[in-house]
Amino acid sequence: MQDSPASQAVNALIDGFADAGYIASEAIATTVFLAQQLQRPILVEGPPGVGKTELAKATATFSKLPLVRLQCYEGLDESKALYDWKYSKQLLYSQVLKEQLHDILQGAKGLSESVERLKSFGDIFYSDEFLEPRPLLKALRQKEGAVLLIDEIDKADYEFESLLLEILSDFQVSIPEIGTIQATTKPIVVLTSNNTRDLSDALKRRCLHLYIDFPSRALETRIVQTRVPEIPESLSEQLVAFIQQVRELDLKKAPAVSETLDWARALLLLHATSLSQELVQSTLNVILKFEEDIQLVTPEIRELLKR
Amino acid sequence: MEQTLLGFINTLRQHDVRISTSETLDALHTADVIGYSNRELLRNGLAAALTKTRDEKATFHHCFDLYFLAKGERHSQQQQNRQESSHPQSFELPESVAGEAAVQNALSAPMVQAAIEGTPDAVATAIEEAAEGVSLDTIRFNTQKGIFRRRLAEAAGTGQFDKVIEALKAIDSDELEGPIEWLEQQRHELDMAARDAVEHQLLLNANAAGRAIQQQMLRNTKLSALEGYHLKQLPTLIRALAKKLATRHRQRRRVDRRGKLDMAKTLRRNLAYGGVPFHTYWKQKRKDQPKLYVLCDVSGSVSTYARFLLLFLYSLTDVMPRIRSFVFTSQTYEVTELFDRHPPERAVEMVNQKWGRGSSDYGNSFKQFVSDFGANIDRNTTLIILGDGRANSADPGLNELRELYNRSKYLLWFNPEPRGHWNTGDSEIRRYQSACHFVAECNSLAKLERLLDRLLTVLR
Repeated sequence: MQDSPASQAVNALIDGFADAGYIASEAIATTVFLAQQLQRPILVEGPPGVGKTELAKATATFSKLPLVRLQCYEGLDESKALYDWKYSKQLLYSQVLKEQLHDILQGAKGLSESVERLKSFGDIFYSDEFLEPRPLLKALRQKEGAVLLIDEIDKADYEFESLLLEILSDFQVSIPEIGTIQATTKPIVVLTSNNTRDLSDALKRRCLHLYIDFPSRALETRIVQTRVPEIPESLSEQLVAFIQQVRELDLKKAPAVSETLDWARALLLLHATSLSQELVQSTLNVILKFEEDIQLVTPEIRELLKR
Repeated sequence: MEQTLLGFINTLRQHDVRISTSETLDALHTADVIGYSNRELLRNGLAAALTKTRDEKATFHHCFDLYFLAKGERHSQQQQNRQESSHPQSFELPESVAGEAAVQNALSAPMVQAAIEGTPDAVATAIEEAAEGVSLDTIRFNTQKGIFRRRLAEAAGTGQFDKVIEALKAIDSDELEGPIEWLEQQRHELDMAARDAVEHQLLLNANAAGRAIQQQMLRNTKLSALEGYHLKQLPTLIRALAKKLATRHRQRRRVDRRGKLDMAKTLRRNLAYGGVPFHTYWKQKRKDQPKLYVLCDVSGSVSTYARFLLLFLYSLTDVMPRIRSFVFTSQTYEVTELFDRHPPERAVEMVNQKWGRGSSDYGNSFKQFVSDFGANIDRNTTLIILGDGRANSADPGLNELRELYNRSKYLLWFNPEPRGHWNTGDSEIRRYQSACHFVAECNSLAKLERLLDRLLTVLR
């Protein structure tokens, strides 16, 4: 039962991710597997710092594809995300070619004949030559396929989502002057969102949805040991246990996995072998980013370490 | 298996998970790719394809357990029951009877045959098929249980057993007691299976139908009539309503973002292209942001309404201009900062705890509001006042209200009292009406939603 081809493939993915330095839960691996099979984009949501962006990077490393990244921000539009025309080049060429034009038109009688003759040369200025591909188009035109990361989609404007729909569902881009450009090989698309606003249903419908929460204790210990292999085992367990408890408290910003890793590296630099109250107190600012949070946790340190 | 999956999707829909046709197709593909053999894999795969928020994921896992686990467990339970029962284990007819035409005829019915041969899962299969025949998945209410159980049991084939029993009883022989008892036992099992199936389906469905009715009711009842349990549910409903309003009004903003061409800037920026305007720049008319001030009476009689108005307004921050909020009983306090620092639900609680006591003094509160904040009210400001207009026979503060009326763009008064009670007793609402652009009755969520919808249209 355990050895259906699908579960084998998922296990292979988990191992592959581990080799790329990313410890994936079964849910994550299953979703990536499905995304490959169904050729659907993945929408990853979750609190900041749980490895959403890292997932795309690991997928790229693992499948040996180039990673094309589009960072979203307010005011992002199609000329920065999709494609643009190389205006200066167009202008320069038209200046240089002016003389040529004269030669071509030599002997033509009247305006209409000149126009006819020009027409026969086609739309040179609006061709591939003068097209400046931006990340989205670039990803579609990669021959061997690519991993396209659209990071923090919730930061982009509401209208930008509509722009993405054509790419996400059909993997194609329509450029009025040229026509429709299809993907050579369909890329693996990963969208990430921090949930600062709700995404439109149309966008969600086209994606597989993955929610990455803070990892369980066992998983987080494995993550620490993989990413910071020099750390002693007992310390990593103690540290993860402490972080997991801190997350339970009512904090403004709970420490994420990236902060756990930072802390582990910091403790390593301090040559620590186990957590003590003074040590935690002096390094608390690595995991907590708000003064209020630090004040809230400081009196609890002794209790938290006991458990 | 496809049917089972579609049934599952239907169940999810009834639990308020929104699943479109394309997502259903995705789910079918997912099941194709993954197969049904590994349950956890299937669970994770379907979760990715079907659910799109964290809440939906929780609902999904609940339904998955209810739907698939329950199905499997019921099966094994029935088999265990059969093995443990003290009734005759097998069915043997004496030779003399077996030959009779009537008996033979009745015995040949498919359900009876299956029982005699001991076909595994015959009962479950029959029930499942019958369930489709009687459209069991349309069951909604507890009261429908009886009729569905009878229909289902009949469709599954209890009648076939009845016929055999009848035929055997007609012969009237002592030898037949054992076989009859066995047949009755089989019939009973089938009936029980039908009952379980109905109960289970009701558990899957009723929840959803009941909730839909309840939400409809919640929207239309007077807010003051709601208590305890229902009050707790309102914030969720309000958030849903607010989301709907927000999507409706979001796309309309931003349309007038064009304006006149800024010639000077365009020329300057396009010098590099020989003055050919490749990049255009537009003169944007700077429209002053509309401002919204809310002044709520939080004295005993209307504090519930103030809570929900504030909750609703702050759920709309996506599309609303910046809100400043004030509460008053005998004095006016600004509470904007509370809402900036805490989630709306918590802030509303804090407001109520801190100031929600005493009776209202309109005169004093208005006076204070005008002297402290009146200077901020200008032609871009919309002011909403929530109160029942019962000034407790004290100074109604009409002059102050008139001043606010003259300074603001709109002054709206939301009155939680039903229209029939206006102007009775110590209500000053008629006099207030003369100093307001609009006085509206708002005592249910449905009315509040309509008012805010109009407000958003006006504010644009």
